[in-house]
Amino acid sequence: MKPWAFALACLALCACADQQEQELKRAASWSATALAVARYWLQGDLPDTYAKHALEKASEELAKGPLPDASEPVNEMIEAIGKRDQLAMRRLIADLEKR
Amino acid sequence: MKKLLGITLGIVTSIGGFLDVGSIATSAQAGAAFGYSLLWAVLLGTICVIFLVEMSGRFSIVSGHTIVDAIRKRFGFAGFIVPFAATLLVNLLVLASELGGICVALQLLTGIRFQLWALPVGLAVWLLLWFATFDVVEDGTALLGLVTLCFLVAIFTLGAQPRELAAGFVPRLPSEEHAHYLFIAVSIIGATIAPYLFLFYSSGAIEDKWDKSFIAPNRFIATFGMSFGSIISMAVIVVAALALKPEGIRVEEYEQAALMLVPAFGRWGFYLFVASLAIACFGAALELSLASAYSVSQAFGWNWGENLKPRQAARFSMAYTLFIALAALIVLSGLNPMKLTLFSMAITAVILPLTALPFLVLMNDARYMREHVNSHFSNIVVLLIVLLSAILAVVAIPLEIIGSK
Amino acid sequence: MNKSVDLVRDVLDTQVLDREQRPLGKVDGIGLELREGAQPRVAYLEVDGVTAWRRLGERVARWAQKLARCWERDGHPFRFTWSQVRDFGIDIEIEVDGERSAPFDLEHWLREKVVGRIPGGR
Repeated sequence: MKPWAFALACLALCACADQQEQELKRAASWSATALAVARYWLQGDLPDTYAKHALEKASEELAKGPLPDASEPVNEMIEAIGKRDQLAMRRLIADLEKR
Repeated sequence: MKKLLGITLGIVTSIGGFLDVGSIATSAQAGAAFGYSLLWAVLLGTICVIFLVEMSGRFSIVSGHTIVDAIRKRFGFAGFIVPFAATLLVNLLVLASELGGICVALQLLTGIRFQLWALPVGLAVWLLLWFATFDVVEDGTALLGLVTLCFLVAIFTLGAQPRELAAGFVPRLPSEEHAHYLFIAVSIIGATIAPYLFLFYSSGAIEDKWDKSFIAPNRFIATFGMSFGSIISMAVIVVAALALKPEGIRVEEYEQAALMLVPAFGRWGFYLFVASLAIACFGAALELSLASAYSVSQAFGWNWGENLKPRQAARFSMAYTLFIALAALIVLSGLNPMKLTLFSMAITAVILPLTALPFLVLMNDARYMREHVNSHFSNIVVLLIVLLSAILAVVAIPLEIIGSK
Repeated sequence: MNKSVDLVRDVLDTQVLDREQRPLGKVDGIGLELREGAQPRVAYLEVDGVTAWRRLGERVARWAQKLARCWERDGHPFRFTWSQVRDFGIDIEIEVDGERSAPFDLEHWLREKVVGRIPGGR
């Protein structure tokens, strides 16, 4: 019994150490998603409904993650779509790309 | 000439019907996270499914039985009840995933939450089964399913490099995230070798009254239909690898997957994805509901058949009605559709031996198969792939659960 | 004609068809008649859901029985004798009209109570 439990505990520990890295990867992924959605929307390749919904999802996920401030610019993007403000969107994209 | 037309239709419907929520979700995840390096998993699953589907057709043709009917007869009620119950339960989860896929597609399109689509979508699936015949269901949705060929077109538009693609067919652990890699590999195999597929195929052969003259056509349909179909699955991995991975976008929700056809098709890309998801899932939902009703009816010896009017096969019709209702409730509960899909696929890989192994025994029983019993080669291929997948799944699932906490 | 039949392998759990080739159910149980000083004889073959569930245990059978009472018409399990067997091979065909027999109780109940009430059910 013992060696079996020991091995499982080791695996669990390894998984935990990975966890922090996982969270950061997830946050990066959602930021990248928001950026892509914003860019495609600007190009006219995405309908407003979906773009807003996808950004809302991204904002939600970022707020839950290790860098909740990252959801701020995404919220502003959602507003930009609502107002159909392409200039504001261009600025937000440029800002996000710099980070 | 008529046979040739039949074979062509069989192959075309296999291609159109190949993609479902499982293959889309797992392939999208695989491509976005690991690039081309999980193409081998689709290939492995496809080889196994070609053997299983061909065997399934051959079994029904030669023995005149469906697989479920024969498994109960061969192993007895007590011996078959556990695999049977397990298969039904997993079918339910997968059906809920398919309905969820349709609902998510509608959510992506309209912004209305997926749960709210659960009952209308369930009703639509049910209505088609209630009023239509087997051929309409089978052929109609599969032909519509050809929209998924857009993924194949996208590979060329995006300029995939053949040499890099080839590397993906060799299994190799990535430098990190081993547990997740294994989990996705196992989910891909589960998505490709879904038991409902070959059980449905066996019932279909009986519904279509295939006789001995169909043995060779069956081999063609199984081989080419499944091969070409799997190419679409692989195409999803490649498209995700080219459109999402370079941006650093991983697929944890369908919202992210929906972006993958935009680089290739522009504005059409989004709509093509939504259409592919909705249609592929709708077709699979119909098949799954029928497959489950077939299984229950054949297990208890009831009259069954999609070509019969509901009044002529009340128990059969009620079986799929109940199934759809339960699955719709699961979607209504708001369980995350992507997570439900991935876990259902992994669990499918775990229980696969429970159905595949008894089926292999039948395929080698001369009382059923007469001179058409399996070759050693077929037995070994299926045995190896099925057992390997199950072992991997048993290892990968707990690790994934631990890792995602 | 001394053909021997393996009861478990070839009879039990085999599909039963009625005289119109309609599926009636499966052979869920076999009743043997025990005789003093002689070999047991097959008294009847039974097609009954509860009997099948009983093979998993008495408690399961009780639940199945309770459920079956909703649609049972006369509560007697359907039994037939070997003399009623018309053909015996992959399926067992018997000289009985299935529509009126107990295994179809659930089918009739569903037709009346549910399917018949939904449009398009006919």
